[in-house]
Amino acid sequence: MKHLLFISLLLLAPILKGQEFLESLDEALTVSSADGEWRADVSGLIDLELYAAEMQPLGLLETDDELFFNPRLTLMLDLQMTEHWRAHMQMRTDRGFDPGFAPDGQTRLDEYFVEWKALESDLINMRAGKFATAFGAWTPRRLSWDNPFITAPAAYSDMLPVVDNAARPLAGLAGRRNNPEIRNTWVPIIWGPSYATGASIFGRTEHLDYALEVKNAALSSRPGAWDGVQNGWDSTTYSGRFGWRPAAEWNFGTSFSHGPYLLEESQPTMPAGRSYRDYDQTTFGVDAGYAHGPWQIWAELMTSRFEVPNVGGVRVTSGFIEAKRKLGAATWLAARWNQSWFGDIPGTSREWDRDGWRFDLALGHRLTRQIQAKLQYSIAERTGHDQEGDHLFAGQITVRF
Amino acid sequence: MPRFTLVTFFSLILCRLVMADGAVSGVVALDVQRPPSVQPGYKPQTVKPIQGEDDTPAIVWVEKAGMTYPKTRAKEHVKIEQEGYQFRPPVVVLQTGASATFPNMDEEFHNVFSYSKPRRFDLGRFRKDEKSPSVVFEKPGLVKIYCEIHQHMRCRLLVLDTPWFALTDAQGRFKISGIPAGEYQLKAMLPSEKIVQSTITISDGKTTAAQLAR
Repeated sequence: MKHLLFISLLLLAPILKGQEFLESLDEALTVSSADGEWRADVSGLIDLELYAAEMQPLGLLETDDELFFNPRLTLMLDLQMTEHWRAHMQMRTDRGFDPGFAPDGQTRLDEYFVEWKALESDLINMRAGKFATAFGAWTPRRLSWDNPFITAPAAYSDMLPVVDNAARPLAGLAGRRNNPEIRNTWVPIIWGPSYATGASIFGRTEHLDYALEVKNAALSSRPGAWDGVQNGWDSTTYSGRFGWRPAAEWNFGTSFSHGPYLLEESQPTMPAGRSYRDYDQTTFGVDAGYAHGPWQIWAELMTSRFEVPNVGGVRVTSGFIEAKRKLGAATWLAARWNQSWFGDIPGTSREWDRDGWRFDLALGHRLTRQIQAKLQYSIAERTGHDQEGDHLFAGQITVRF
Repeated sequence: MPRFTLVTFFSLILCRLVMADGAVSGVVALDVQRPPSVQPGYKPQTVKPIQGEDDTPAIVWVEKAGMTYPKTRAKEHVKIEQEGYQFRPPVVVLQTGASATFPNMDEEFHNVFSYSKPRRFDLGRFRKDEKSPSVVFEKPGLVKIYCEIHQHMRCRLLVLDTPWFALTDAQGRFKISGIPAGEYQLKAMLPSEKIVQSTITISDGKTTAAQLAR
């Protein structure tokens, strides 16, 4: 890992000094017709991330190392064909969709879609492909350049002891949190931006916006389940969001999602006569945003019900409030409070997991319009005996071109 | 004799006032500015349609190495409006010490900022009816100004120590007056941000003709 870190910094050093080079590169990677109707644009992000986590690490970080280095190259291709047609592709090379899930390195096509704008206005748009979910309000700031933090909110990253690859006995559910070393079989409420495959219709008017989508996998599904070609459409999931902007400062939304969340490989373990497609994840959420002067504030609250084989429906409610305050020209401080509450195991008065909270604090600075650096500290706590790490330090340098 | 001396004195003063200093005028061959640098797939979501950018002129100025310039334009103040989701004017030139405000004339938020070394600032999000903070430009250099929300919006503000500068018209024509006699560098920043220059000689009471091209 030290060699990888050293080589990355060595390669990055001239880029950090060469602002003019980055601007020229950005310009050279754009081809456009004279009238601007046709345009092809290649761009990218280079991220160097270093995580120092107490074991077991918080969120979607999969490592036993005290220090984990994650370099990431994101390449994006955008094609604009008249005002009505657009195509987008995003390819990433890193150590896993979430850091550590592919420690030896991996290259993936994370996002690709074709979009059609039906009218001159933005009222009706259609999209087909593999793309971020419309649920909630976090996905628009999911890329490292836009995210005030390095990690995602807990609702989008905190692993819950719901297993998607097998049906387990009821007795195992309540104590599953005591085995965080098998966390890689668990799922969060929403797996990051949830780039599942499908189609959507979306649009906006002056004060309202909407998005409805049909996809091949549930919100909680892991990245391996998102590919529609490889995994098919057995787990068809319906999601949507309706938004209202009463004034420039305010943004409100409500979201829903419903669909099967178990993987096909869980079928042999299903109770007799049941299919893995019989078990749904149903989620409702509300979100709010406020911005004025140097402040940006976002909040989301969602409740999700998982139908668990041999158990019944279990509910988790999770939310966060996130504030970003600009400090001068190019520096910001961001704080986020995440909280999760768990319902009872059906037929008992025992919670199926432990309530918990996580606090994230981040300091960011943009050196130029192409380069930024962030530091983050997170602390988490759960009720009862805790076998997961409570602290996470992370640093990230991002170069945009 | 005293009457002659008095007449001569006032004649010389008048002559100095009329013919004082020199000027330079001419034409700059304008080029094309770069397309706006926006994130791929950037699709501005605006309540009203985005209007086109104003024509981008060149900035022309006269300078001499080692010269201490008069601060004749250091108290100037300009308004750079955000209207139709564009900065208007898109190109501004100021002497060091001058200032600018950024009134928002649109119905939506703008967030004006610059990360340029001569002046880094971020005004945050503010609405049409809110007062814009005043930004003073103390250091010479090019200040590239953007809107954080609408990536296509851009303004180029050049801060100069010299007070002898002008913006060209759409044909590239310019005139700069009030320059003391001497040899100077005539420079122009083209719409592409490239700098062209030539050496000129200014004579009292005369207008020097000049042409600048890449």
